[in-house]
Amino acid sequence: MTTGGGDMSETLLSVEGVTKRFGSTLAVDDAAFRLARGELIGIAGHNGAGKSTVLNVVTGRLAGDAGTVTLDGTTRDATVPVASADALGIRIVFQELSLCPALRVDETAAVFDRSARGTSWRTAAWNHLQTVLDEMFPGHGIRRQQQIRDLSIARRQMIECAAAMLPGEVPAKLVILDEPTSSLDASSTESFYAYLHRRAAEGLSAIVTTHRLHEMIDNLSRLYIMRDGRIVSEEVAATSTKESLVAAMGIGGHEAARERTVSDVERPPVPGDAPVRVHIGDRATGAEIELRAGEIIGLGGLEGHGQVAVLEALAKAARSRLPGPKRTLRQDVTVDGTVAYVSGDRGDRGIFRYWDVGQNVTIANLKRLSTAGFLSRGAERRLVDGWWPKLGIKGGPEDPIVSLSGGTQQKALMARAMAEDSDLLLLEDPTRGVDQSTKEDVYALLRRQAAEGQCVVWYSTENEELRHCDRVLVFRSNEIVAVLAGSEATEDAILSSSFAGAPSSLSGAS
Amino acid sequence: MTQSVKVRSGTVPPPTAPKRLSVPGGTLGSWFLPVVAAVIMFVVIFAVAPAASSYLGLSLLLSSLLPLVLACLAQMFVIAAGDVDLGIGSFVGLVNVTVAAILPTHTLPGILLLIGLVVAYALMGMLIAVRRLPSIIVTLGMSFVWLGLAILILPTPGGTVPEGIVSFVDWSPPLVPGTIVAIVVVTVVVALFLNRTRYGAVLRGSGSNPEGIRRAGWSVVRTKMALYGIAGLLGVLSGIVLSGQAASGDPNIATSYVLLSIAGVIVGGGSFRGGDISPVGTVAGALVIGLIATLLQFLDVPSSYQVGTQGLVLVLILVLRAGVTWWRRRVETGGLA
Repeated sequence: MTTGGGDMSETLLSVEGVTKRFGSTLAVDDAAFRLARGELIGIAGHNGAGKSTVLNVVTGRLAGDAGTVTLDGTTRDATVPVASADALGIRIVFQELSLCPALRVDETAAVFDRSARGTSWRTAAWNHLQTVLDEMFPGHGIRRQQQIRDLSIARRQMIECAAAMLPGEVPAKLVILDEPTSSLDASSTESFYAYLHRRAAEGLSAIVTTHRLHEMIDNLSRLYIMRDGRIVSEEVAATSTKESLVAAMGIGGHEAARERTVSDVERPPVPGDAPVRVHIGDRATGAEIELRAGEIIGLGGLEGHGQVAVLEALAKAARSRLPGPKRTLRQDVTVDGTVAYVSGDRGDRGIFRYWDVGQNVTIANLKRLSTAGFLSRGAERRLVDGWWPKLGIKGGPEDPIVSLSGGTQQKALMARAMAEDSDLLLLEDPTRGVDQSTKEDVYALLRRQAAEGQCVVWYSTENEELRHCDRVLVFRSNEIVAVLAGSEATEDAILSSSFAGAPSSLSGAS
Repeated sequence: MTQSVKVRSGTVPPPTAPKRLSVPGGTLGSWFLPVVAAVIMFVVIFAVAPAASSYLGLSLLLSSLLPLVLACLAQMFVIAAGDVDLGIGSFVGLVNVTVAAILPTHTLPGILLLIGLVVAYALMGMLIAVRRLPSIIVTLGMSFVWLGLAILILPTPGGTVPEGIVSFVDWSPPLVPGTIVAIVVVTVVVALFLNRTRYGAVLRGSGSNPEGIRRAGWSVVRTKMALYGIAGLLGVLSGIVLSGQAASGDPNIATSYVLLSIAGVIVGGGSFRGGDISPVGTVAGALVIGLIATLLQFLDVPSSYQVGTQGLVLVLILVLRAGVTWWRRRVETGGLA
C-alpha cells in the first residue's frame, strides 16, 4: 500500500512560490509542490516548520504574501483569502478538535452536512455520517444519541475524520488532514488509511501531516519535507525510512533520534527496598502484576480498553486516606507510595491558560514551596530554575503557557508532575500530537525519572513507542491479556496480543 | 443499522459501554430533575392548599409566574451563547414603561420602539461577537442604559397600560387557565426550535464551540445575533405580560429578574459552559423558583425566614443534580472511574 493509485499525470493541485510572513518570522518561504488526482501525499516537519501555515494558505483560510494556488485547472492568487474552502471542493480535518461538546452525534453530523434538511434532518445527517463511519472505522461503536462530551477523544476524532468525507454541495476533490490519527489506535489508523486509499482510487486526493512518520511511509506515495518554512526535499515514501526522514527534517539542536539497544531496555529494576509496590490484580485471570520502583511500564492495546481506567484507579488508590493498604474500593489495585498524574487532555484538564509557564510548573507543589501558608517566591523560582534546563523549552518561564506549542506544553506539564517527587508517575498518552524530537525529549525525561527510582506508568496509543518501556501491559476489554518485555514489545506483538482470542471477523477490520 | 464488526468484546464491557437507558432521565437527563422538582412543588402546594388546584387557584398561582418564565427563557438564549445577561431586569422594566407611558398615547411609535428594542438586543449580540467583548460587562453596562431610558420615559411609577393588553393577559378560556396555555405553547415552540431544527442545533453548537461552528461554514456573528435577538423578543414579551398584570408602569418593576432568571436556567439543568441548556428544564426551573415563595407562604413560614429558605431549596436542588450526575457517570463507566 504505497501508491495512491489514479492517474499520476493529471495534476489536481499545484502550489507555486507561496510565502507567508508573521511579523519578523518567515513562516513559509517560497513553497512549491504539486499533487496528482487520486494521490495521497504527506508534508513532514517539526513543529513550527510551516506545515500548517502553508496548508492554511492552500485552503485560502489564510492570505499569503505571495504565490499562486492552482486547483483543478483554476489558478487563484494566494494573497487573497477564500471565504469557504468547502466551495472549492477542499475539506479540512483540523488538528485541534473542532466538535461542539454540547451537541449530540446526529446534530453534529447536521452541522457539517448541509444537505440534511427537512423534518428528519437529524436522521438524514446521521445516516450519511454513519455510512462513512462504518466504512472508515468498522465497529466504531458511536451511536447517534450520544453527546460529543461523553465520547472519548478517539471517537471524537473518528467523527471529525468522517465528517470531512460527507457528501457536500461541492464534491470533495482534496482533503487536508492535520494529525488525523493522533488519538487513534493502530487498527483504527489502519482502517482509516484503507478508506483513504479506496477513495483515492475514485479520484480523491489528500495531503496528510502527522508526526507519526511510519504512518506516512506506510500509507502515502510522496512526502515533502519542510524545515524552517522551506520545502527542503521531496521523498518517495516507499524508499524512505524513519531515520532518513528525521535526518531530512533536521534535528537541529535536538537530541538525535536513537534506537534503544536491548541492553538499555533490559536494565534490571532497582531491587531491594522498593518504595512503591503496585498490585494490579486481574479478577478474570487471577493474574497479579507487581510494579517496582525504577520501572517504566507501558499500557498498550486498542484505545478505550481500560488503560485509562487503570491509571485513574492507581491514582485513586494512592490518594486513598482509608486506613490499611492504599487501594480503591472497586478495583483490585493496591499502591504503596505517593502519586503524580499527567492528564491526557491538555487543554481541558492540564494547563492553566492564563498563567505563565513557571506558574504552571509549580502549581502542584505549593505545599512544599510555602511556609506557614505563605508562598515563598524564592523557593518557587528555585524549583522552576532547577527544572528549566532539563526541559529544553525555548524562551523563559515568564512566557504565557499558551504561547508554547502543544508538545512543549506537555513537557511543562510533565515537569509539574515530576517535581512532585512522587513514587509513582502516571501519564495518559503524553506524546499525542507531539513531534518526533519532542517525543525523544519526553522519553528521555521518563528514563531519567525511572533512573532516579520513580515507577513510571504511561499509556500510549502509539504501539511503536512502547518499546521505550521495561514492561508493556496489553489490555483488551478491561483485562490485561499479555505482559511483554520492552524488547519484545513490537507493534506486531502488541497488536496480536490485543486481538488474541477476539472474533475472527476482526481481520476484516484491519 | 447494525455494526458488522464488534471490536470491543469480552466479558467486561469497555468503559464507554452504553448503559444510559437504565438511568433516570436517560440521555435527556438535564430536564428531568427540574421537572420532577416542579411537579413536587405543585403536589405539595395542592396538598397544603387544595383550593390552589381549582381553575381560579391555578390562574392566580401561575399568572404571576408567566413573565418570569419568559424572562428565564430569554436568559436561556444568552446562556446558550456562552454568555450571561445582566440587563434583562431593567430591559423588562423599560418594556413595561414603554407599554404604560408611550403605547396609550402614541401607539405606532410605541410599537416601533418595542421592535427597536429587539433589534437593539441583536445588535448587542453582534457587538459582543465581532469585538469579542465580555458579555457580563456589555450587558451590565446596557442595563443602566435600559434603566436610564425607562426613567426618562417615566420618572415616577404610574401610567396606564392599554385596556387591550390587560384583558389579553387576563384571557380565561374554558377548562384550562390561559396562563397554562401560554406556558405550554411558548415551551413547545422554543423547545422545538432549539432541539428539533437544524439551525437550533447550530445555535447551541455556536455557544459550545464557536470555532468548530465557524469551521463548519456558519457565521458565528449571525448565530450570536440570532440568540440575542430571540432573547430580546422574549424579554419584550415578558415585559408586555408583566404590564398587563401590573396595569401600570415602573422602571424598577423587574430588577429581581436578573438573578432569578439566571437561577431559573441553572436550576433548569443548564450550565454556563455554553450550548448546554434545556428549554423544558428552564421553564420547570422558573416555575420552581416562583413556586418556592408561594409554597413557603402557604406553609406559614415566617416571612423573615422565607428568603433564606428559598435560597436553601435552590442549593438543595443543585446538590441533588450534582449527585445524579455523579451516579450517572458511575453507572456509565461500569464503576471504573
